Amino acid sequence: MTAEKGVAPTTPSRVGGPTDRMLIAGAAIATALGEAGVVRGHDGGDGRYATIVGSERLPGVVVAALKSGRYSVDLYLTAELVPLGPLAGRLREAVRRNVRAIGLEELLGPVDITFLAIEERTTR
Amino acid sequence: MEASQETPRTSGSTPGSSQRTRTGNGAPLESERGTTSIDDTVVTKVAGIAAREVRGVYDLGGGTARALGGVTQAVGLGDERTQGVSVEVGEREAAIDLTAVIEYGESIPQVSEQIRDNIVKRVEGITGLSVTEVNVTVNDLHFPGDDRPPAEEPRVS
Repeated sequence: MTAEKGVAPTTPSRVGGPTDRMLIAGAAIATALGEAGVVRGHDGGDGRYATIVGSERLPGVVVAALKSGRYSVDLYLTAELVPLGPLAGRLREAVRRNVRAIGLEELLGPVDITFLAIEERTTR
Repeated sequence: MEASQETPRTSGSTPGSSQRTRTGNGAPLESERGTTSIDDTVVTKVAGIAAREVRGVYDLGGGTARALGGVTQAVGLGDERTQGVSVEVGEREAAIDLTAVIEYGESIPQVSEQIRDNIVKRVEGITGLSVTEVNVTVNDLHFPGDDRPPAEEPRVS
C-alpha cells in the first residue's frame, strides 16, 4: 500500500515521546489560545473534547487519524463576542502556519472549528 | 390521529435537528481546509445579550423562568443571558423567540422594535446567520418600587 501523494507516511514519531497526533493537538490548541477573540478551549462539559498528552490534558482539541494518513483537527472553543466566521478563518490559517513550523504540515488535514460558547470580555 | 407537523421557520432546518449550524460571515462555510460550526447556545446567548442592551428592558423570561433562573444562578448553574430566549437555527438562518419584562412607562411597541433591531444586528454580525424573525412576548411590566423589599412591621411595640 502506498501513501497518498505528497503525504508523509504515518509512523510513530519517537519511542516514548509525543506522537505526531499529540504534537499537532498541542500546536493547534496553543494557536487557538493565542488568537485574539478566543477565550479558552471547551471540553464539551463532560470532558469528551480533549486530548491527553502525557500527564497533560488539552481541553478543546481532538485530533483523529484519517484514512489518507493525515490528521483532522477539531477545535471546540469558547469565544468572545466577535464575528465568529472571520475568527475561524484566521484561526485556521494560524493553525496551518504553526503546524508547518513544527514540520508536520504534510500530516494536517481539515481544521474544523466549533464555537460552543461565548463570553463577554473586552480585554484579554 | 396524525401527529402534527411543525413547519421550520428557517430554511434548511428541521424541528429537533442538529443543534449546531455552519456559518459564513466572510469565511467559507466549508472547504477542504475545514468547516466552522456555531452551537445553538451561542446564538441564544448573543440574542439574550442583545435584548438586554436595549433601554427599557428590565429582564428576560417568564415568571417561572425568572424564579427558577434566580435559584439556578445562585448555585452557579444556568445563565441569565439565555433565560427567556429560544432559537431555531438552520444552515444559514435563525428564528428567535423572546419573552421580556419591560419597564413601566416605556412604549412597548418601540422597545420591542429596538429589541428586534438589536438582535438582528448582533446575531447577524457575530454569527453570520440571517435572522428571519424575532418574536417578542412582553409578559410583565416592572415598576420602580418592585425591587424594594416590603418594610417589615415590628410585631411588638
